[in-house]
Amino acid sequence: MSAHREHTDDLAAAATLAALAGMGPSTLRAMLPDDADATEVVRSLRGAPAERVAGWRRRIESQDPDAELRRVRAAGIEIACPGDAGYPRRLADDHEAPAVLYVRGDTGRIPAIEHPTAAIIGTRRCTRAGRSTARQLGEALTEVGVVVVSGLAWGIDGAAHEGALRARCGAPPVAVVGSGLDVVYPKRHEQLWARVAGRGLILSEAPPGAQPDAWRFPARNRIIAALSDVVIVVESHGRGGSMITVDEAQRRGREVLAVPGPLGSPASQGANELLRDGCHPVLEPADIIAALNRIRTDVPALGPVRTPSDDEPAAPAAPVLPGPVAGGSAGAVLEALGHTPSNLEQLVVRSGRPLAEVSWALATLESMGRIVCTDGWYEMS
Amino acid sequence: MLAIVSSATVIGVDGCPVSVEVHVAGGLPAYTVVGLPDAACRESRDRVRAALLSTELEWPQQRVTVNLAPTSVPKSGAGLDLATAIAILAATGQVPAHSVADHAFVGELGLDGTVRPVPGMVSAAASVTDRNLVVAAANAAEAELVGRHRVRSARDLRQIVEALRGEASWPPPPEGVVDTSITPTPPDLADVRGHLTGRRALEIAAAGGHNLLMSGPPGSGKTMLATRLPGLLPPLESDAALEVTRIHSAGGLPLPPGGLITIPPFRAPHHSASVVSLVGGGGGRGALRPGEVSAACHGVLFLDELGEFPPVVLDQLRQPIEEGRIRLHRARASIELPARVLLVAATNPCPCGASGAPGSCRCTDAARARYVRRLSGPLMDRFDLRLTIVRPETSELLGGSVGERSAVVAQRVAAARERSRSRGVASNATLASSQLDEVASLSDDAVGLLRRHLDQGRLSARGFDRIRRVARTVADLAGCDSVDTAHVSEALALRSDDLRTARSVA
Repeated sequence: MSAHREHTDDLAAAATLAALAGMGPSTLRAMLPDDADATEVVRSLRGAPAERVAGWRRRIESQDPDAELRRVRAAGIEIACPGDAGYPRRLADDHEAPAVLYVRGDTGRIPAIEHPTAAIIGTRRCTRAGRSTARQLGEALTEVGVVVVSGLAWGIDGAAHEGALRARCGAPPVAVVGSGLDVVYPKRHEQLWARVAGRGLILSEAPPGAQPDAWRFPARNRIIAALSDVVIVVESHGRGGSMITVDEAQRRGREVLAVPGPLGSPASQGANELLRDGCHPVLEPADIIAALNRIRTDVPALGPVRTPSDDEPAAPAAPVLPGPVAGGSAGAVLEALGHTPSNLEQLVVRSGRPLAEVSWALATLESMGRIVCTDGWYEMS
Repeated sequence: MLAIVSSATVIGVDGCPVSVEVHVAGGLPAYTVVGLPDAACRESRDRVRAALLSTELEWPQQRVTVNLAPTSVPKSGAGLDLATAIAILAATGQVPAHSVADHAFVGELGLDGTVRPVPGMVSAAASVTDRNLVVAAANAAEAELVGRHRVRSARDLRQIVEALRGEASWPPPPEGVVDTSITPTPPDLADVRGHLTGRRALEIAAAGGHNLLMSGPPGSGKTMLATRLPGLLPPLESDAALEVTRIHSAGGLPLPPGGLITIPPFRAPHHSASVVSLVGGGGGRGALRPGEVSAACHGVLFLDELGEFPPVVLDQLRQPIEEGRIRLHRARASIELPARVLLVAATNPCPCGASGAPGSCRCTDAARARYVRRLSGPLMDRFDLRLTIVRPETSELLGGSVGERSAVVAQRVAAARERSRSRGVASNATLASSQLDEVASLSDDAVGLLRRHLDQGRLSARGFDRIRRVARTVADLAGCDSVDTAHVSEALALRSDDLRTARSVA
């Protein structure tokens, strides 16, 4: 039997093990150390009399490795084990490397992950300003060839990839998700998910069909940390998934950077605490490039600096403000708004203008697309 | 041996005249009540018997049949006690039969012969025609409100019997026996520090009859603002005042000194309230007492913690709030209760109690989605105004200037209501879409502003109509005939979107 055929058997066996009910990353790792032969493991589980493996044995008894591999591939998903060409080398070197990795997207892009990578992570409950920052960073990094790694979650994660996809050329975006690669989560990201797979890669250690169970996300975060040279926290609450990624990154000696947020903004509490604890701040994409330069020699240089106004979509060629409110109060309201989400009351108090004037300015600014109102809260767009 | 005495009972908020017919005849001593009595009516036997004996009157040792006519109407409560006792006395010749002919009797009897007040006296009195009315002293003021009959009141059965026999004259009308426990004036807006937008939203809500939804963290002043709204509404006109008084009387709620309710009521049922207590229909078989929504008629219904009300309760509120009346159907009766309320609701932005600002919430996705789902749907369409509330800054609480008094704002509200009434519209909130083009024509600038919002998908078609209604009210408050950009802007700043749709585009 050819070497190729033998390896396919191994993959099939590994896929079967990974997809067994009750299988988690550490159990799988224990069963499949780097030099293990997956086919052998399956065979030994089947034959082993010990009570300890009785449960696994019973479950694997009814499985057909070839059918499992067909099922995975039919879903358009590739599968790789540490050491394979389709398995990122730097992930294989990690001490908690997933024993089986599922890949969606062109596996020819896997080697790109060895280029400089930066994880852009943050909370799902973010502000518009946070999303906008994540988009900007994602685009700028991708454009110069830094691979943007993120989790495709609602909020900052998704925005980072939206930015990466907005770049006209550059590195492929890489997403690491918690669910099976055929289970889109959150549902609202279905399109984004497909576009990331089209331009880059989506990775997961969860077998196809695996639901987005809560325990899978902290485990997923360790893969993000392992894949990244630096980790950038855009907005994070005091506790949460992003802070788990930060812990995983620090355990691996990866540099963590944070984007400063307004004092008292709950969405930036975690990021601001990181800054206080000594993380480098990110004020512009160049800060991330500088951090990458400290650890690697193959970091591309940043292109010409783009002003933020360039990359806002649909920024309409500012129409003249109608009516007598022009200029004065619109400016005062924008100044009062700043980068903190505010409601009508706060804007009236801060700008010191009458309510009628403030609401006129808000309605005008909103119709121009300069600000956005959600449930009575205004933010800069 | 037969006596017929007039009385009245209450179904819902309407009075219904009742004839109490008593037949006393030979046979084994017995007592039967026929004619759809409820439990309290049937128990009247023991109260009436004890009251007669305590008053040293005679209980007939014969067969007593009591018929409550018309027999098709369900009777409830103890209001027929007094009429039953008088009918027995007349049938046994203890009071002259002719003396009871031109009187109607409504009251409950105590075992010692005391005459006690009954709920719904205003409606009961209104249903009695061409007769003098004999009621408990504590009910006299309510009965007088109708103003159609001479009202006699008595403390106990003995006084009534003596007056009917001609042994004594009727006791003089009582003074100051009405419940004075409710405050005559609602709290004033001048006590509110800060909350500039809150004051304005209340003013617009009062002027146009627009339902208002407030969202803000606990302790930010939502309830404080809501309680100020009745003080901004114009005092009730005579018809409305009598209707509200009848409802409160029928619901057994305390009435102000003087009896007539002239200040728009404010009702704030707790979120644990049952469907029956809100929309009405309680009070035993046939009584169909009005609920909290009816009690708030011509005033303010305040639902605090809207998200905590069970969905089934909120569903029941939809139709009354749309139509201004409640229809109750029971096996024996179906009635209509008035329910023209101004709805004010308060809610936390999400279960964790954060300010509601984007990025401030600590809820899990599932908890938040569940909460938002509860606050979505058809009831949300009833709110024209939505206000986000934050706690005022400390400086405003301590040093801020004192705001306008309710009376000043109420004047503007009254003037605005007058403008809208001169166009033949009861309140701007009820303007139909077809009327909007005619009465709320927009200036060109205002059209341009709204068109840009519509084009960008920030406004739905339904939201567009709501903006125009509110803008009409803002213009009325400003004394303008046409609706301008400034008015539309304010309406936009206080607009209410379905929370779910607003979130999904975020």
